[in-house]
Amino acid sequence: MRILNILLIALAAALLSSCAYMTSGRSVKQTGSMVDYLYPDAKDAPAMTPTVTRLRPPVRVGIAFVPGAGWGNGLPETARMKLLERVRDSFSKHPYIGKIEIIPTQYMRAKGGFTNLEQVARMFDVEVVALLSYDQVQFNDSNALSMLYWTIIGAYVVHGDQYDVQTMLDASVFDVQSHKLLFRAPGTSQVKGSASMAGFSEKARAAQTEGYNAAVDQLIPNLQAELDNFRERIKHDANYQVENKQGYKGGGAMDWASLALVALLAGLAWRLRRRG
Amino acid sequence: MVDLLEFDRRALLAGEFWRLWTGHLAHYSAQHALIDFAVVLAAAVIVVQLSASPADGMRRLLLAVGLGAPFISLGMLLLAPHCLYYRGASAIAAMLVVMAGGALWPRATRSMRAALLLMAATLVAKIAAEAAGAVHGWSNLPPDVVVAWQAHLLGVIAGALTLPFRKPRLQLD
Repeated sequence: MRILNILLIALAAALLSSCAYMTSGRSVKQTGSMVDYLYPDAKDAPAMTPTVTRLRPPVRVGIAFVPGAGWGNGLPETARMKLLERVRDSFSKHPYIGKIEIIPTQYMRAKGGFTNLEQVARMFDVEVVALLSYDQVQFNDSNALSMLYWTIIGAYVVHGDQYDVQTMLDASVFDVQSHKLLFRAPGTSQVKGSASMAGFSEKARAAQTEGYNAAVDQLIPNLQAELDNFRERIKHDANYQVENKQGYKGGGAMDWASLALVALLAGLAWRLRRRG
Repeated sequence: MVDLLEFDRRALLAGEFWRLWTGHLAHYSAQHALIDFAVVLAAAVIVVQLSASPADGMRRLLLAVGLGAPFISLGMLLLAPHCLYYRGASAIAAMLVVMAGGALWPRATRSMRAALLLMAATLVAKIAAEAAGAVHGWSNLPPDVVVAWQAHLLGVIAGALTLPFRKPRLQLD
């Protein structure tokens, strides 16, 4: 009987410790690295030949997330598109930026390098591509309240698990033809929270999305500031040349003389009507 | 929204055919739109008033705008290959001004006809000055926008093409 009691206690201890093991000290990482995508398996630093980068406003821009390292890495595609739409909308009103095309991640090949970037740029008819790399780490920890999970009800009610989601987004804008990095801007966020064991996955997923959204909120003004700096920089930098695109914007405009002309016509018509 | 409506050469050639019509509705500024639509409205009223009947006038007007808008846009594709974007109702306005002048002509007295001829000469001179790049300062277009004189010329041609199809009002007078 004594042996049976000892066995039961050992079994209970093992089960409880495994519960604790399930949720503590775990971290989840999502990453899409710019360097891995553009310079895959590079052992030496890329050789850059000095070239003059020619920009022809209104510049056609593509915007895309760098493909992740593995399948299912990072946000779902719909969430990515929503984030990219927010970035696009905040830059669509600049006269020197033409169309901004959102490039779905399916078109980006992992470790595709500039070859893949050029293919995608040709396909979407863009001259400049803004690549968003991301690095999100989620730390999961248990707090003292997790002791109450053994009551089973506690696993549904008590917030004994904590998460800490740290996100870093980096937008790097490349000229496709010259492969030159024009400018870059970061956006970071930290989202903390707690959940019960039963609701942890759902809350943690929402926190990941919130982390990306908060990082984009920070990224947009940073990117805007860097764009303004870049515009000033290229005025004095001999490595950049701004050329006019062949073609122009046309407008058909009536002026005050035309208004006067039509007023005279109206006067003639009125006179004719009066004459019957 | 306006970007979806404007005449955009690439988008048009890619199949966004609605721009053949909607390019004439898009404008660069409120003042640009206001002056264009004021001329359109005044000329349209004259065309309708001097038609055989108001119903006939409206029918003619709708037909002219419905066919004239794509005629002008297609003409821009051919005549102005470097014009990538175009906005403005002025070409439609030019078409309606010619239609209004054509409606006035048969009933006009000698002195009125002289005035109409003078107005026609002014219109042609204005388009010629635009082609020479001499009148940008008069227009209310933004500084980076070129006056598309080809559109105005096409508007005048479209208006002239409608004149043989006008029903005379003499039968009602």
